[in-house]
Amino acid sequence: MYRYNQFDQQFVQERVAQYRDQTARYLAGEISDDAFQQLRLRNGLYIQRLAPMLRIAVPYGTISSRQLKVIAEISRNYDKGYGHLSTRQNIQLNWPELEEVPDILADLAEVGMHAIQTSGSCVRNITTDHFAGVSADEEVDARPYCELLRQWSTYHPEFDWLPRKFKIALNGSGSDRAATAVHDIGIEVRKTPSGDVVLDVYVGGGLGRTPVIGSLIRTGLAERDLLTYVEAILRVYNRYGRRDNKYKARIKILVRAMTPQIFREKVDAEWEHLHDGPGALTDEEILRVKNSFVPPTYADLNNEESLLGTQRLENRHFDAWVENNVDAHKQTGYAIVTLSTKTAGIPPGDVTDIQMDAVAHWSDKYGYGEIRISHEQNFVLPDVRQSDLLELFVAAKKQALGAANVGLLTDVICCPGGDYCSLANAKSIPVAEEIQRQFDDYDYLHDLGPLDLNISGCMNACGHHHVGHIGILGVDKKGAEFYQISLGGHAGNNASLGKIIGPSFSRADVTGSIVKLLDVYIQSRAQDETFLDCYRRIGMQRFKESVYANAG
Amino acid sequence: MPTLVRNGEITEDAWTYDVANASNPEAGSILNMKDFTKQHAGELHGVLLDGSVEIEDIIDQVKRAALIAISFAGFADGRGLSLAVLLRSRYDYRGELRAVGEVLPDWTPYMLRSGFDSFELPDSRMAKTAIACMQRMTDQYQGSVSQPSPRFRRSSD
Repeated sequence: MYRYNQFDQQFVQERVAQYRDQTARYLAGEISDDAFQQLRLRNGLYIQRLAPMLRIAVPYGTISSRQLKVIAEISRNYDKGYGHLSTRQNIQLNWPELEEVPDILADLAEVGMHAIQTSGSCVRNITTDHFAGVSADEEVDARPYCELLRQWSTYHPEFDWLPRKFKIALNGSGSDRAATAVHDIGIEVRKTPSGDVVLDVYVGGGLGRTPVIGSLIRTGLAERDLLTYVEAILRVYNRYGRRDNKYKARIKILVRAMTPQIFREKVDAEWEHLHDGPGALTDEEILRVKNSFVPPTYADLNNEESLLGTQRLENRHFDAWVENNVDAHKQTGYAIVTLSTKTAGIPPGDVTDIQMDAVAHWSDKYGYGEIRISHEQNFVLPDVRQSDLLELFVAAKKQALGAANVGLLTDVICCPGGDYCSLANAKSIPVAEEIQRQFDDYDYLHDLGPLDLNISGCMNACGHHHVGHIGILGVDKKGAEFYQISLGGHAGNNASLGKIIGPSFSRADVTGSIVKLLDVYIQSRAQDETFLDCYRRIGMQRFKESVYANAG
Repeated sequence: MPTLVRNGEITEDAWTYDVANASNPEAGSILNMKDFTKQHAGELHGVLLDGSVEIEDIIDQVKRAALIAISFAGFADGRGLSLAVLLRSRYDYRGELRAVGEVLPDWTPYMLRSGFDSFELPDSRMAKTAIACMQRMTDQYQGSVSQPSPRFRRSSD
């Protein structure tokens, strides 16, 4: 993974000192609440319903064992001993004291971490495929491009005060695990037949109140043009994006108002002035950053098909876990393991200090000290020897991180909802929990196959409900919590937005409705047909009839 | 009474906003765009713009002004930063570029790097804080008006 050089280290430390000074001036009454809000947001600090929340940046979801141990330690020293994996691959602490945040940031800076630009109207943490660099289906490792963008966007003089937040995701794999279609900028990194790396740029995707799939505005962009082209997009957005209404301020609204074609022309006209300027990347810089992502020195191993075959026959839980939570690695003899945080009774993405320490320990013992965080709010160990899988599974089980449900119905994506968030219309975590309890039978879950269930507590869509195969959105109906269900969303390749099935449901009826929807799927599916494919084939009607039958 | 910071120091402001005399503005007055255009004002005058202007359409007129003031409408209005970048980098504007309106100390480092060289702060305490804010960070990753070369072109560490 990327290692900080002397300047990177100096930069985060100076930024901590700057924020310490800002906090001191705020506490001394020299900065107004409104002005300080903008400053603290740019260091990841929200004031939530119950307490402040600090969002720590995990650049493109990659974190070292040493860093994760420090976060566990911070959660013990300054918080209640747990953290939360966010849907943008970051880690959140829910209970820090505003006065102590500069000290927390200083502890983070010691291990090359920060909370810069994890909130506020600026370029947020750059995200990518949580399997980047290791997955068997990868074409290009997108992490160096993420890191180049991270450095470029950090404390940018011109683009730190945008109309609204700005999210960029990159993907370099056959299957898009980074949800690039629903980002302000989505970048597909690929190789040409002659072996050059080029970029396809999508703009104006997003969720929230107005979900939109991004529009392709540039294909085959050269690597050296990455930063100048993004600069051109951001300048057009900064100048023309709406600032009068926060719900119309995202770039997707501008792209739609202008039309993608006109927006593209504006960007291209701007870029004409930039692409041969000093912002163009040099070969040396691209190489420098790529060189910090060289793979570890893997051992010369063979695939362990027969060992795993025997182990799986002897232990059906392990068999299920390998089936769902283990993915193919580039390197023979290795595997990628996803450690699910989704156990009924625990809010999706919540992890204790003990679990964080355990994951850090496993990454040292069974890998090269590196961990990933997926946007599905799980931990990933990228470099596990196949012969160690059973031992890791047994250890993970003991820490409640061994659920064999990755990609299944109970691997719910869920925002913090009304239990924590002051924006939420409704609670989301108890809804997730009830569904997880209802569907605790593994054989049934496995039979349902791949199924993304995403839950948001309000229109802001932090739980990505628009791109859940089944999406649930909390709404407020005259002070009561109701839930709207949508079907057919999808975040990966061939992305789509879910369609609302009909009138919303009371909390008591949500789980029962999900049961009915799944019954329709089971009765209607063709052999090996996934829920999404089945929905796409048969459409909404049968689902709708079933769920509203006898409803008067 | 706002306090002016110019080239890193608190400075007596030689400019005035001469609205009363718009038909015959004195030298050293800052005019709005309409008056500036009407009076064929020039190198003895300043012009006040806001972040929404289409700079491409008015650059030939405003370029001759000795001072261009850009007003920031609110704390989260970053349009003036892009305007400053365009004036300096694309149109090679060399006169004084002044940030006015909602200008707070912690904003000035962004403004400085985007090409502003003078800042109207609400009072002298904030002006002093702004000067300290602008000196805080040693270096930056990306290029800017004040340092066009990004760090990767200047250093190999």
